[in-house]
Amino acid sequence: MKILLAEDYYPLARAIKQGLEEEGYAVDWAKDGEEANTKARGMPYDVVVLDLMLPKIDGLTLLQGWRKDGMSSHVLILTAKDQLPDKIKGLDLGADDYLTKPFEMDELLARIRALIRRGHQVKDPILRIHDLEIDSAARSVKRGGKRIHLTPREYALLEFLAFHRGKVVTRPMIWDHLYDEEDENTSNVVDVYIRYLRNKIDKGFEKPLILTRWGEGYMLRGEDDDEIVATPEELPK
Amino acid sequence: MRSIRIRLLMMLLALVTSVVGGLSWYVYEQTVLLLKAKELATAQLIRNQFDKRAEEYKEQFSDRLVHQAERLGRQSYERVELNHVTKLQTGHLIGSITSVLANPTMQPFNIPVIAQSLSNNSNRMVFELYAKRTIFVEDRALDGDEYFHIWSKRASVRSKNLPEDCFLDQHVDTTRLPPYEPRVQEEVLKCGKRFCMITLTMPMTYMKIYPGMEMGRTPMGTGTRRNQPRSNPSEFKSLTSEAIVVQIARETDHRDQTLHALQKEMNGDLVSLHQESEQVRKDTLNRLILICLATISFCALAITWVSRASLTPLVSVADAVTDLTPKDLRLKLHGQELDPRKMPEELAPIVQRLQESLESLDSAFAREKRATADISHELRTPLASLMTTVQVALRKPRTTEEYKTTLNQCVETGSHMTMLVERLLVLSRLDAGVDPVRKVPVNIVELAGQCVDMLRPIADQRNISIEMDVDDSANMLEPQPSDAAKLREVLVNLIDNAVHYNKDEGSVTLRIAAAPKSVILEVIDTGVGMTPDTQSHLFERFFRADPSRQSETVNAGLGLAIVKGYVDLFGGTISVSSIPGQGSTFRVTLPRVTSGMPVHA
Repeated sequence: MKILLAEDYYPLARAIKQGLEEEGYAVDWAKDGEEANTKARGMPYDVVVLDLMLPKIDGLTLLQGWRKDGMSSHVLILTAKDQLPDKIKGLDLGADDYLTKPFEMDELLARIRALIRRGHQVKDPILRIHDLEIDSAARSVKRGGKRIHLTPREYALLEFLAFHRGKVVTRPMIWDHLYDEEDENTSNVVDVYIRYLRNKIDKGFEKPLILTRWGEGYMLRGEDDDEIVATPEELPK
Repeated sequence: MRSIRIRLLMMLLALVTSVVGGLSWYVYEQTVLLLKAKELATAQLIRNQFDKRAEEYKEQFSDRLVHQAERLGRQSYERVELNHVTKLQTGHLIGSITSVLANPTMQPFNIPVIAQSLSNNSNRMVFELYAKRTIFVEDRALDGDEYFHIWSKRASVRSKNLPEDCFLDQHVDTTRLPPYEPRVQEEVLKCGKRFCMITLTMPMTYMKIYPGMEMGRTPMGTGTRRNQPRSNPSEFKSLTSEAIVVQIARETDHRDQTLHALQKEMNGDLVSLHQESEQVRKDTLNRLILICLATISFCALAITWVSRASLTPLVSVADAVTDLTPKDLRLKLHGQELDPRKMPEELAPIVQRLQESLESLDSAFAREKRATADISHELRTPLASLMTTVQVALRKPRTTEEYKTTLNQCVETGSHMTMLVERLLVLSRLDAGVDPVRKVPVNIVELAGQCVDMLRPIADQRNISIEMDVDDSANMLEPQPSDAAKLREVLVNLIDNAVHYNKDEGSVTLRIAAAPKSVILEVIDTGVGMTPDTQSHLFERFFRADPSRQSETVNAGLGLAIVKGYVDLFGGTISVSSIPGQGSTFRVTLPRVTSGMPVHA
C-alpha cells in the first residue's frame, strides 16, 4: 500500500514515515505543496496524508485541485487546525478523513486501514480467499485455520494481491506499492518476495493461491479460478 | 445612588417646590397683611359708625331732654299767692283774700297799696298780707322716667316721682350758665340711678294769672285786675327779669340698653368681619396650597417628561453598552450601530471614545484570540511530532541504538518547543512591559560584526555572502547606551531572515550609518521580496510571509514581532521596503546619544 505524506515539519514527517513503514506501507514524503502536487499526480497513492499549512501551496488548494482533476486517492487531512469550521471546510473540499495534531499513531494507522478498505470497496476487515483469511485490521493471516506469520512487507504484498484477486498485477505495480521512492529497484526483488510468500501461504496446501502469469505478473486465485491448474513453478518447493 | 432621572426629578422638584412655596408664602403673607389692613379699616369704620350712631342717639336723647327742658321752662312761671288776711285787732279773723299773682316782681310793692285800700275801709281791722311764691308748670306731660326740677331765686318745684333722696343736682352754678345754653350732664344720683341731666337757664318770659279760680275767692272785686293783664300784656313782658333754672333728667337705663344693643350689634359686626376675613384668609391659603400642589404635580410630570426626553440618548447609550457581549463589541441600538454624529453633542465624544475603545478592545480580543490559536497551533505540530516519535518507537522492541536515535529526536523537538515558548515569553514580557532595557555602553559596529560572524556559516551553506558596509560616520560612533543582548537579537533576527528568504548565492548587506541624532542600521538582501500587503502585516506576531515551517528552524512568525518590540523599547523605529522578486531592506533607526558617555576610539 502506498502512502503520500505531505508534511513540512521534518521531525513529525520522519516519525510518521517510520511508523507507517514499520507497518509495511510504502511512504513517499513531500516537504512542501509543490512537491506533494507533483507526486500525487504522478502516481495513484492509496492514501495521501495531507498537512494543510504547507509551504508554497497550501493543503486545501492542493486538495481542491486534485478533486477537480478527478484524482481518486483517499486524502486524510492531518493538521493542527482543530476548529470545526476548518474540519468542515476540509471535508467539504473532498477530504475523506480529518485528524488533528497531536494524534495517536494507532488512530492514524486505523484510519489509513479504513481508507484503504474503502478504496477497494471492502467493508469487512477480514478478506477470505478460499481457505485463506486475511485480517486487515489485525494484519494477521490464517490458512485452513492455521495462523501464518508474515513480515510487514510480506503481509503488504499479500494484501495487495488479495485486494486485486482474480486480476493480474504486474511487477511494477507490486514494486510501486511495496516500495517508496528511496528504495533501490532491483529487478528480482518482487520475485523474491513472491517466493517468500508462496513458502508461507501455499506450502503444504493442495491448492496454490498465488498464481504466475507468464510475461504479465502474478495474481491471487479468484473464486471462479478453480479450473486453473498450477504450473510446477507455482508449487512451493 | 439612584438613577440620574430620579435625582434630576428630585432636585428640580425641590427647586420648583421651594420657588412655588416661597412665592405662595409671599402671596399668602401679603394677602394676610392686606386682609388685616382691610379688617382694621372696616372695624374702624364700623366703630366710627357706631360712635356716630351712639352720639346721634345720645344727642337725640339729650336733645329731647333739652326740648323738654325748654318746654318746661317756657311753661313754668312763678306763682305768687297773696294771702290777705283781715283780722280784728283782737286777732279775730274777719276774712282773708288770697290773690295769686304770677308776677314775681309784682310782690310787695302793691301789697301795701292793697292793704291801704283795705284799711281805709276799716280801722279796727288788722290786715295781714302773706305772699307765697311757687313755681307753677302748666303742662308737665313727661315720660315716666323723666324727672325735672325747676327753681328760681325764690321758689322751686320738682317732679313728684323723683325719689326724695335723689335730688337732682343743685350744685350747678346757674350764674355761670348763659341763658338758653343747656348743660348736659351724665349723673349718678344718690339713689344709684343713672341719669342724663340737662340744666337750662332761661328767663321767665311771661306769667299767667288764673283768676278764674283764685280771683273768684278774692274779696276785692278786681275787675281791673282781671282786665289788666289782658288789656296790656306787654306790661308783663317788661317785667321778665328773673331767670329760671330748669333741670330735667331722665334715667339712662333704657338709653344705655339701646346703646348697649348697638354696641353688641357693632361687636357682632366686628366678629363677623373678623370671621369673614379669616374665611378669606383660609380660602386664600387653601387656594394657594391647591395651586402649589397643582403646579408641583404639573412640574413633576413636565420634569419627568423633560428628563426622560433629555435622558433618552443617555439611556440608549446605556442600553447599547448593556447589550455589549464579548462576541460583539459594537454599540448597537435596535440592531443598528450608534452613530456619534447623530448623538447630542454632549454625548457624541463619549460615544465616539467608547466606540474607539471598544474597537481597540475588540481588535485586542481578536488579536489575543488569534494569538492563543496561533500559539496552540504552533505548539501542536512539535507536540504531535514528539508523541508520534515516541509512539512509533514503542510499537515494537528496538535496539539500544534505535532508542538513542528516538530520544535524540525527542530532545530535538523538545528544544524546538522550548525556543518557541521562550519567544512567546519574550513577547508576553514585552506586552506586560516587564522586560527592562539593561543599558551598557555598546559598540554597535563591533556588535554587528559579531552577529554577521555568527550567521555566516548558515549563509555559506547556500553560498550567500554577508557583507558589512560601515559608513565613515559610523566609524566615529561613540559607544551607545543600549541593551547588548536585545540589540544582538534584533540584528541576528534580521540577518537570519535576510539569509533565510534569500536566493541561493544571493547576498546580504548590513549597512551602518550614523546621523547627528540617530544610528541607522540597514539589512539589505537580494531575496524573494514581499508584496505591499505582506509588508503591512510583517511585524504582527505569527505572521509569516510564507506559511512554511522550514524543517527544524524556529520560525513561528515571532522573530520580527520581537524585533519590533525591542526596537520600540529602545525608542527607535523599524521600517521595511521591498520589491517582490528583488529583495528587501529593513531599516532600524535608533536614537543616538552623543554626550554623557565616555568616547572610546
